[in-house]
Amino acid sequence: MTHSPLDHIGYLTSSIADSAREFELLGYQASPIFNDDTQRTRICMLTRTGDVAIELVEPYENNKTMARMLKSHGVAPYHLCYRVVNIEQAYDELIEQGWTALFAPVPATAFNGRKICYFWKREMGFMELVEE
Amino acid sequence: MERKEIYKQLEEIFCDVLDLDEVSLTDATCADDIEEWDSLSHIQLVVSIEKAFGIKFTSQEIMKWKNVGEMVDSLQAKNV
Repeated sequence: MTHSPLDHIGYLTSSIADSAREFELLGYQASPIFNDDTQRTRICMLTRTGDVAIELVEPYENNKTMARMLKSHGVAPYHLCYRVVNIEQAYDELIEQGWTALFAPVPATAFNGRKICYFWKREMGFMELVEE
Repeated sequence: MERKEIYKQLEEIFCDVLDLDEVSLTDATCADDIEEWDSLSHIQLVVSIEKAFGIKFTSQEIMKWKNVGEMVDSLQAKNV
């Protein structure tokens, strides 16, 4: 984990279309929008040469938990995602460091079926891992 | 604090965090019983419970609870 590169910054938004339009003015290119039925979110990756990607995350209408986050925090970054070679090994390492897992590694639509998992720590907030 | 009092306070927190009009918690209540209680809202509940009772849970505690009863056991073990 100590050398795992930052893959993207997760950015919660009420409208991918509106947020992507603003990021495009800053030179980012937007990917097609993916529906992630497991996480009940729509996803759009924003990339710009030489920069860390930004993942726009728009909750489905029935995703009340993320709707509450939007209501309390507004449109804002809310997680960092690191790329790891072996996600099960990194999972065990973070548990050992006192992170709380939201769920064990699962395949994710937005990452072509590559596994992801989410963690939370009081001092750090939310962290995602994605397997290379 | 009596177990009954802890439950009363937890029900207020659950209603507030999960945006419920009312909820009745028992020892056996688990995430499958409340649609709004998912892995992300679980963390929101933990943060609110810690703040309300002035305590901190360990990650092992947070991940091992299978139902509300075990959550209340953890609270009582911290002498709330």
